[in-house]
Order: sequence, then C-alpha cells, then structure tokens
Amino acid sequence: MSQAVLISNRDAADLCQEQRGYFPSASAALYGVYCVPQKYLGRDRVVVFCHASGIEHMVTQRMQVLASRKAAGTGFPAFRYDSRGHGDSTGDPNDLTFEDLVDDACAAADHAKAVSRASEVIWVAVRFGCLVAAAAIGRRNDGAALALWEPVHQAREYFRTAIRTKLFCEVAQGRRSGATVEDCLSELEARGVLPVVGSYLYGALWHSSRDADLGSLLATWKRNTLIAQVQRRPGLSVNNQNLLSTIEGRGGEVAVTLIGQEPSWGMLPVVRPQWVSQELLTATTEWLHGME
Amino acid sequence: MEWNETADERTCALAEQPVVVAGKHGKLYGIVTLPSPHSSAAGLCVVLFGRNRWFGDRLSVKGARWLAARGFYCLRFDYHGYGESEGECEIIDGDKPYTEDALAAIGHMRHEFGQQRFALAGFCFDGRTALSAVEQEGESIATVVAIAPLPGEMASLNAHPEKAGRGITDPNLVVRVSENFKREIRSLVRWRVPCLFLYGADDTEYHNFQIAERTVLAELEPAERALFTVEVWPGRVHIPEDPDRMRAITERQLSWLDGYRQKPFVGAQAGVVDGFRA
Repeated sequence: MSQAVLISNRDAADLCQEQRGYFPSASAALYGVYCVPQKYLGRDRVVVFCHASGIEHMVTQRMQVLASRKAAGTGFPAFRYDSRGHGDSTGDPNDLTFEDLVDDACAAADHAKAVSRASEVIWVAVRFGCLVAAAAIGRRNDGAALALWEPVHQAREYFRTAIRTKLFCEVAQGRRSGATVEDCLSELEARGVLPVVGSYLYGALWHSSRDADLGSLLATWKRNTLIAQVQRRPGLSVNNQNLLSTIEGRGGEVAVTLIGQEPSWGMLPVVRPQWVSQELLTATTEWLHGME
Repeated sequence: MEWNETADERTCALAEQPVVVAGKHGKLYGIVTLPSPHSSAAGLCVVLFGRNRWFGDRLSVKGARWLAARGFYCLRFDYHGYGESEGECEIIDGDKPYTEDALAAIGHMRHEFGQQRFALAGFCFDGRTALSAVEQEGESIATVVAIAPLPGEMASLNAHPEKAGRGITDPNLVVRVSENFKREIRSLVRWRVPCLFLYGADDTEYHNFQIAERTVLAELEPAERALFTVEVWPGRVHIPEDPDRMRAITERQLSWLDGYRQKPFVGAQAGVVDGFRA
C-alpha cells in the first residue's frame, strides 16, 4: 500500500501548508491555492489542477482540493485555481471564451512555477478542464505529464449532453417543453445564453470551444499520461481507448484507472453536492509517485 | 438586478480576504468580502451559508460582492467536509444542521473583524443551519432569511405518503415538524429576530411548513407572530436546478438583507454601537 493510501483527508491538509490568494490573468484576479509540501519529492515539477466547467466544477471541486493536498502531503508542490467567472475569482462567465480559459490555465502554470521554482508542469485536469489543459500544453513547452479525470473528448458533445440533462430534469419535474437539443442550441444562438442545470451556457464559450477535440489538441503529446475513466462501464470507452492507443503509438507511457463510482455529473444532487472518490485520489497519487 | 459584475463589486472582489476559521470538525475555509470604501457602512455582517461557498451558479459570490458594495461585511465559507474545509463529506440530514460551523463562523467575524451584528441566510439545509444558530447567538442576530427549509425529517411522505419505504409501516408517525425546528422557532421568538421564510406553493417542504403554520406559529402572540414573514411564490422555490429561479430568489434575499442596514445618525448614544441605529 502506498503512503498516499495511509493519509486521510484531514491529515493531508495538516501535512502541507497552503498559501491562498489571488494572482493576475489578463484583467482578472484569479483565486489560487499553492500547497507547499513539507519535503519535496516532485523534483523540478509542480502539479497544476485544471478544473471542470459549470455545475461540474462544483461537483468536482472537493476532489481537486483533496488531491492537491494529498499531492503536497506526499511531496509534490501543487496549485489549484479558479478561472475568471468561476469559483472565488473575479469576472463574469457570460463573455468568457475558450481562449480566456486557456489564458487562465497558462497564467496559473506560470504562477505555480514562479512560487514553486519548478521548471515543468504536471497537469491534472477534470472533465472540460482536460480540453483547456490540452490547449495550454499545446501553447507551452513545459508539460511534464498529464492526468485526465473523466476527460471530455469533444466539446460539442459535452454541451449537447448538458442540454439533454436539462431537458431530462424538466421532464422529471413535470415541465416537458417539447423542445429538442437542436431547439435549445438555436435559442443559445439567438439569445447568447441558455439556462442549463443549475447554471447557464453562454454563447461566447459555445462558439469558441464547440470544435475543440481532445485528440487534436494532444496531437503531438507523448509524455506520461493518466487516463482516469469515471464511468460504470467495466472497460475503457472508445474515446479513451483511442486516446490511449494514439499516445502509446507515439511512444508515450499511459496509465489507466477505472473508477466505477460515478457522480451525477450535471444533476446537482442537493443532499451531497460534492463528489469524493478515495479510489481516484489514491490512483492519482500513486501515478505521481510512479514517475519518480 | 444587474447580474454582471459592476465596477463597485469588482473593487470589493479585489479586496476579498481568504480566512481560516477554527471549527469543531477542523479548519473551515472562507472568504470575507469587506465593505466598499465608497459606500456608507451598513453596520451589519451577512453570513451566507452554502455547500460549498459558491454553490450552484456562484450566487453567493455575487451576493457577497453586491452587499459589500452597499457597505456590508460578508462571509461565505465551506462547511466541514465541503469545498476546502477539513472533515469528511457526509450525506446531510435535513434536521441536523451544521450549527457548530455557523457559530464558529460568527465567532470568527466577531473576534477577527470586530463585527457585532449579523444577518444569516441560506437555502434549504443552509436555511436550517442559519436558523439553528439563533439559539446561542440570538442577541447579535438582526435577521434570518431561510429559503425553503425543511421543518421536519421526511418531506416527501407528507405530500406523498404512498411513497413511504418498506421500513415505514405508518407514514403518519413520521415527524413532519421536528422538535429541532420548533426549538429554532422558539429561539427566534425569544430573541425577537425577524425572519423571512420563502417557499414555493408546490414545494414539498412547504407542505411540512404549513403544519408548522397551523401549530407552532398559530400559538404565538400577535407581536411574536409578526416576527415571521412567510412568502409563498407560485410553483417551486426549492429548485436549485433552475438558474433563473435561483436568481429571483437571490434577488429577494438580497433586498430583504439590504432592508436591515443600520441608519447612521448624528452623535453616538450610550449602548448603541458605532453610531448606528436600526
């Protein structure tokens, strides 16, 4: 059993010192937390967490907190942040573009490197954040490794799923509108905003990211990769399998973990809105240690 | 209401202070939004409860900055087991609010930021948490906003007794207005704390609350009953999935809180804090 397994959530917070504050990205001030390890094992690397989007950000935020503390608690400096218009940062989401999110990820990586004095970045990305991290990696030459937590492969399908979930919730509440996904996308085009479950989908993000594709964004990526699939299915999905094969085909090393305990990603469960998976925390920490 | 970030709100956002509160279950992490230097002081500290501190569409973030731009101190924080706070994340029990977290947060604002007068607000479970703090902190609480709190333990059984699980042989025996909720009502009365309850006519939670209206609230003296404002909107209020509805609720909550700002007057008086009066 690895050291990570032995560290409880509370112990992990005690094992690292957290520096909380704000850092600049374009005209925004972004909330960020740097987790300082008591002893460094991460050599010349800092772990940067790239968060999910919309309600999924809230669902997965606790996992990022715990994972960053576990990483630091076991020797890796780690940094988590909120993009503009997200979490505790400044800014509005209504005019936020995909490029803005990538800018923020790069600003976070720069800040994390500056405070940790590391020269390379290990990205841990969640859902839509996987597209953002992949785009950030493509802009830079300091990506050492990439962990993908239940990655979104095609932004267009991600948005369509969010709309389907909204329609499903409406039916469950007896408010069947008769609208289709295409109708909702037309409304988004016309109004520039569409209510989805617990949040809004904005035209600026839709237009700027709908063609984003994880495989394309990682077209030259061949460094250490973790694919953490969080689905009930027993084997890898076709998208994840294709990504694995492609990276391995370039000579990259890919680890896979299958997490069967799936949160209700976009459904906003009120009794337990935040998701925790000890299995994923352990797998991610062990993957970090496996690179040393 | 302007939902985009205004210049004043941005100024308040840039001055926000991360804080760590010592809680019973570990450290609680929060954000204090300081009142805008361009506004007149409201003389009130608002604590916005949520799971996590920017639950849903970040309405608590917007709310805190909106209030701060009008002179309020604001605290939003993560309960134990949520967001950045320590402790284990557990499935909540609607009748067991996180009172210790609420009291720790209020105490922190009192001791670290010199705040003496508080307003508390929350949605559903968070509303119950706000209500539960009054028993010990009533003297310092100016008002409470509770959005669609469940006053009992098993809301669905009241509206749909046929849905009772196998373990429940008689749905009539299930507590719909709990002793904890009755105690919270008594605390509000004892400390004379005005409270806004906001429900939707179709909320399952409202079915339970109507029992409380017919029993606990009906037994109060007129002056005591006047402490409680009960607003019932058409349709549902307990619907966090609907961002438009949540914005409307937030707007009502903020306007209620804004109504409790203290009004400055010339000359300090004995026993009146900081030259303000209600």
